Amino acid sequence: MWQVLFNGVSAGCSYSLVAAGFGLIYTVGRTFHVANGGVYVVAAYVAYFLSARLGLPAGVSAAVAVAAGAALGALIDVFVCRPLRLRDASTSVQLIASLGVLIVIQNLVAMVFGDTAYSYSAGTDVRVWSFGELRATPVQIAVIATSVLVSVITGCILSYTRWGSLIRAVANDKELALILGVRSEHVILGAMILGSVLTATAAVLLAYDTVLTPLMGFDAVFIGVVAFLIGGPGSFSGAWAGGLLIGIARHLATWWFSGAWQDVIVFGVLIVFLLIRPKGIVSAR
Amino acid sequence: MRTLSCKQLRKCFGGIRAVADIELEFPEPGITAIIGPNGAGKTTLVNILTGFVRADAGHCYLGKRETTQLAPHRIAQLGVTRSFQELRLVQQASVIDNVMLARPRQLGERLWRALFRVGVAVEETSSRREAIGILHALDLDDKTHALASELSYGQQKLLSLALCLATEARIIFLDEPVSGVHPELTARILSLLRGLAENGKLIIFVEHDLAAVREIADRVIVMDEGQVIADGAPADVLHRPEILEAYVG
Repeated sequence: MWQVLFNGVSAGCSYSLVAAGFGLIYTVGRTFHVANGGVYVVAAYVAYFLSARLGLPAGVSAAVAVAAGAALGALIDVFVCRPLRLRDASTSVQLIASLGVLIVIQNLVAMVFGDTAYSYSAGTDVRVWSFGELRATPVQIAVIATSVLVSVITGCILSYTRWGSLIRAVANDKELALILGVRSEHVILGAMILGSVLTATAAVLLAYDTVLTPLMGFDAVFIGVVAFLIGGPGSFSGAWAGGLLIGIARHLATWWFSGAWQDVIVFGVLIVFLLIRPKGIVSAR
Repeated sequence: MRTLSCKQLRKCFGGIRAVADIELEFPEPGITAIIGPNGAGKTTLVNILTGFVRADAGHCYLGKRETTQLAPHRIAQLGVTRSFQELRLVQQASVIDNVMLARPRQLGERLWRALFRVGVAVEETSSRREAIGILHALDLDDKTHALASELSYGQQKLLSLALCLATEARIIFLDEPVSGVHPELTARILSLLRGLAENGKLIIFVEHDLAAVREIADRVIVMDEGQVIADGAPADVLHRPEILEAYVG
């Protein structure tokens, strides 16, 4: 049981990062940015390519992959999202455009790498550390530690820096920010980059623990969205709570029933929350 | 001293003329009130002058610089700010954080300084001191660390004014600054506005409260159906029976 919970927490940490990245972009840019799934795929594949194919150290590969994800997030904002915002495109138009970007990226990745599933750990022995009855892989420990570290840094940026104030101001009221002379579009771009960094970090971490496919971004972003909704839209800590809950629920579902029940449980939890507590676990005040 | 002006300004919404060929000049400093019935085009005019709505035709200037096509944040950076009819505050931030947000040209806005904090701490300390000074002037110093959402309606109006002051703008548009505010607080806000004008700022406010207009405005502009139908000193304009009867009740 404890092992299942630990595995759930480990997976939940990475879901939390995706949820936080998605939530940051949604609350600031008011865009249901499913194209973040594209950032996820590209970051995971870049890390894999640099590490497994070129043989670069894992840390260097991860850093470059996160930077690539951030750059891709910025490009998507500048060339797709911003022009739509400036034309006052409806949220449904922005969603369809974002979905289009995700599909384009996934297909480009499939054309470059093929549809084959890749794995970092294929053919290698996976080390396991034991803590009493609890067994943890180095990747699981790295996922938890990195997720907590990245989240603390992001939380500090949002809470204690001028940039954080600007992001919160634009998220709260874009017009108020404008009359104060704030360049809202630059702030949204900043949020898009920060959100992409969180998503890319999750992608790189999970990539070490799972197989890579061009369609992995779609699943990741939808789990992130569910975690974001369950945690409480607009709340950074809510994204964390939602991510952990989803991670634990998925692993408990596998333990009690089978892997096929994972998504049933995830969306079941979402429906229950939407009906009973629509503002989520941690409702933004 | 600069003059805010507009020439042949026109704006239509679906065939309805909200602003019809308006020409106005607002020299600094002073207090100008814009009055008129609902739908007269007052807020549309303010929206155009502050960049929130693009005019269909005509030009706006700040001094010699044309501002017609500038984005709102660019106009704000030139020293023009505004409040809205409905209160616009960062409700979940503290009072002091709201005011700090409005402080212009902060080093922490530059990415590398935000990351490495070069000179940012010193500047933030100075900026915070000035923000506290503004809150003190508005009698909000005991609410410094309260959330904006915890303030009364009247105090939120004051905080909205504090944000305008914190921007250091020389031209301030206010949309109904004393509506819904109890008389004691109204008197304080009007006194503050008078003080700002005496310190060289240009205050332009949209208001339905004629008593407030009479008390502090140097000039009154009356609008109806998108046009300026009267423009002059309150004593010359507000006593006209046709203005009182037809446009302000």
